[in-house]
Amino acid sequence: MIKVFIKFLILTSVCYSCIATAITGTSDQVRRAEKIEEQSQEVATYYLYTNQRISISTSEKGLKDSLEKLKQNINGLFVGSDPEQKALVEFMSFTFDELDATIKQPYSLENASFIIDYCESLLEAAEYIKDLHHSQNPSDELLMLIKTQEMEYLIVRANRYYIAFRAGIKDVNAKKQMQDTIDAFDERLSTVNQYTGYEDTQKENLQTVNRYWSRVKNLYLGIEKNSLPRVVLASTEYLLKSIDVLVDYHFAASDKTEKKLGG
Amino acid sequence: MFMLIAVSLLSTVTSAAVLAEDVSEIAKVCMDAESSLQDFIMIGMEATYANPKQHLEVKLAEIEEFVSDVGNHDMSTELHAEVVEIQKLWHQIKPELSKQPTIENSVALRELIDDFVNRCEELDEHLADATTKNSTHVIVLVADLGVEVQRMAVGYLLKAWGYQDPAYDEKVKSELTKFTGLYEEILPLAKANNMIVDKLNAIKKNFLVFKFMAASKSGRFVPAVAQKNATAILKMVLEIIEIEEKI
Repeated sequence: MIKVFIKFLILTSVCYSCIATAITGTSDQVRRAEKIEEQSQEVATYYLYTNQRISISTSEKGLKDSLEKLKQNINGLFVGSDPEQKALVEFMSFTFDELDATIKQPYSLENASFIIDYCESLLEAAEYIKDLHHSQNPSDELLMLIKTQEMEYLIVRANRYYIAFRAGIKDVNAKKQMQDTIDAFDERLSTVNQYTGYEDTQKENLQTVNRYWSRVKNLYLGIEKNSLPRVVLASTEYLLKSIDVLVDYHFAASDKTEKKLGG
Repeated sequence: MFMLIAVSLLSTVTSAAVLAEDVSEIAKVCMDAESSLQDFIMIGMEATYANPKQHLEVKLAEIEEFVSDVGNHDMSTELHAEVVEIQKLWHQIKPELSKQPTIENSVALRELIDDFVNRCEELDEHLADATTKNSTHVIVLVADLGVEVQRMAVGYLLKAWGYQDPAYDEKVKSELTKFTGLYEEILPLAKANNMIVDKLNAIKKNFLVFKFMAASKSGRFVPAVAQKNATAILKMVLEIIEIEEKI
């Protein structure tokens, strides 16, 4: 469990921050927004793991740490004088307070639903901040890097919905979000499959991703019944490892392209 | 002629005492009707939070009680005709809320309920006009504020369920404008009462989520929080009405 999130955390923070710095120079706000995206997903997942008594001590620690970091990053956001930005930061602070207060309450399905929604709200607000700073004309290599990084994020998200389903949160919206996540992954994988620049190592890993994805997809969607959460987790980690190789490749390639463009 | 004026004056005096309470009850009916539709939609969405079935039953009983009650009070013929119209509409809506929810019947119900609530708000305004208490006008405004929030929640939940309303953005824009206008109108009226000002500030904070959701194009939804905040705002609006009743 922890490995999945540490990997996700390190990868996204290193890569996204570098892209952001390279493209816009407004690195601090983008970096904070990226962290908020990751930490919001971690909080919800650790909360669900903790309350389903899976890897309990690690999950509890993960929840405490990610919640604290989330708070720091929200508090560090630039408020400014623009009323829209001010309202956005105020919304994030208010949402965090509600999230924090709900976590402290006894576990219930209702509270778990609220926590998932608060984390979704923070994720969305963070994305909004990031979009304000992202380049309007990214290079093809940068687009490939973004696609592969999104594949990782989508895998983590699908795992989160899987855990939520196990907890009993199976309303229409949760099912739809899971399906949307799966479809979004399919769409990105299809784009990556059309990329012609890979060397042998990346090609092998892409084959692995394609091979495992159809199986893991069924586990997330619950089509393959009676799957153990640890098996789902192991499959998630395995997929993430293979996607990592693609991300590394595109990170190096896009870095080269940006440097060329830059001078 | 003298007799007619005397009877008319007597009728106004008799009604005044009763109508102040009627304004609050009809204000609650307007908000409860929109809130019931939220519960109906949540049942359809198989929501695992907020026990919408139980909540719906409570709301339906409350609306039934208030709608019947107001018809028993003394009031002008015109006002009574409005009450009868409201009762008629309500008795068309109530059985629909007991059916199995689908997106289609929820959308049809929204039209019926919107019409009902519009008339309900008009009736409430007319009831307030017929009273001698200024605070009833504040009650009407605060209830209108509550209605706008409940309407936004209904639209949002329908969208989260999968209904693609081509007029969604336009409706949300209009609801946001109405909310802001009402809020700005109420705030100076409530300045003398710190308890009400605190509640209005809390409403504004809880409303942030609706403002933010309205701008979202991501395809992600937060129905549990939308419903939670709508309920929290409804509770605060009812508390303000309670305070105003005592003024």
